[in-house]
Amino acid sequence: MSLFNGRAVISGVGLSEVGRRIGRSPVALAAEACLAAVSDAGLDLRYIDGVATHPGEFGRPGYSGAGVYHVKDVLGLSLQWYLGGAEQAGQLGPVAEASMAVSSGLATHVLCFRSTWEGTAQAGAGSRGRLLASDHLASGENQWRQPLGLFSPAHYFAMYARRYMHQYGLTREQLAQVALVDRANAALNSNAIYTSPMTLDDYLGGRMVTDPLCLYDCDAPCDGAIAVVVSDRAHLPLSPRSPITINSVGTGTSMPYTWDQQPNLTRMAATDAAATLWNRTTLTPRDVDFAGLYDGFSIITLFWLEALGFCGEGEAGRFIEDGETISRNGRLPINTDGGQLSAGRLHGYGFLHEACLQLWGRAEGRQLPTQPQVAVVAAGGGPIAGCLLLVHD
Amino acid sequence: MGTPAWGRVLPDPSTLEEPFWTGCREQKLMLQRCERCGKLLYPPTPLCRRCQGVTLAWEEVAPPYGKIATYTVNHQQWLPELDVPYVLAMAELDIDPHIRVTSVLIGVPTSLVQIGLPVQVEFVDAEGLRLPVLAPRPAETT
Repeated sequence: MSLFNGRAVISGVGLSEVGRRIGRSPVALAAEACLAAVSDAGLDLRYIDGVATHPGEFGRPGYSGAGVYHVKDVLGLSLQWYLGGAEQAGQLGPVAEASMAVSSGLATHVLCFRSTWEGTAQAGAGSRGRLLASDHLASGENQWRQPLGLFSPAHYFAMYARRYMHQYGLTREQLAQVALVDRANAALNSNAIYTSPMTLDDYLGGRMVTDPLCLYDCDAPCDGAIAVVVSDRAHLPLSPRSPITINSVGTGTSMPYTWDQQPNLTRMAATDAAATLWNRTTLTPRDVDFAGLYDGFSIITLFWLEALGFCGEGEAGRFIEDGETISRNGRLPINTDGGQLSAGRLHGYGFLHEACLQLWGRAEGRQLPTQPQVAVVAAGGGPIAGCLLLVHD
Repeated sequence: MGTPAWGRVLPDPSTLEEPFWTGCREQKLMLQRCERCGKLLYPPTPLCRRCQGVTLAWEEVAPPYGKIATYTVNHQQWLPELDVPYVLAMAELDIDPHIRVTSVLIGVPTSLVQIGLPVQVEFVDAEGLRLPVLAPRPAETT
């Protein structure tokens, strides 16, 4: 069984220049990724009749700078359907929405993109903190944050991590495996931000940001964009390459949006998103060959491992502690591009791009030794979550 | 142990949240209670999150006791004016453990901070306002 009657597929992917501080317009980065994805799909811009993005032009500088309107205009698109916004199933929500659009006939080829330029924006502001506290006044949700000393999402994730450690006995040595496996994978990715080898001692000696999270538990802000083309299978161009089927999407949520009021501090909206993903497919966690699991902060990866059912509640530390299980040679290879911790914060789309390359057998020097057929991609932390189940056979 | 730069960023509440911050100025922890189902509510809301009741009354939580549900020791110099390290914590209130107040924990050496530590909400001066913080409570109350 496949959602969307099997009509929703990924036909092409594209990646822009990626770097720590490129200093290019985020719209230009988005356009570069979109043009690459359209070409990769064997299409040209005349066939693109839909655009979807997260979060649109929203939030602080760097978090987003490229929304639907600017990208549509520079690409000269004439659209049947579009969507941009933050209030959806996380960063990957646009792919779920585009799947509905193409399977219901609202559009035939939809560009889904994410452009980020946090590296350049932070350099311009002077620091990440300056960017986060650029105003003297905080309203809405922020009135409970910066005035009270919470300057970064890192603070919430550190508190989730501390609670998880208290409840389930997670150690820093176990948590380190996310960063260590990511870094080992990044060595095979020429686009990654950090590629030098890292040992457990390097990790444990890393500068503490907000205990128990150290520098290596926090992802690397960067500039870059990724796009994918979500197509109606009935309208694909002739191509020797078969598309990737979007088998299921995880879009549920029940968690309060206020980050500190959820009933259970060791659960995130990931649990709701993953439950809906599996309720909509006949596949199970045991069928998954590759997982791209959000690592904006390392602890989030553990929450996704449990939410998606790869291990039981409270077991993620033991699941990853040998470093082998989630390595590229292990039972559940994750983040083979280096993840956001080492390859850079492309905000969920790095995992999606990598999953497509692996499923198509196009990951070159980092192609998995056994060709994967089923991949799960998950993005978001705290009250933000969305996930996709991708199949290529 | 340090503290963040109080007053560097100040709350800019709407009329919905104003009574909470007015309460802080008077050194009172003011929360809403639903007059229909009795649920205590935080952060401020226009209608009850449990029963959707629209008549909500502000009341003082006294004494404003709770215990640490989780915490983090912040070392990062997010802004030059921060005095690091300082401790941030979520405290679940004794009156309703489902409600958490998240702020800086003052008055406890970093090495003694732990989950379960009894605390109370206190208030610090900041640019003419007062902000809620967490602090250890007198031994005889724990």
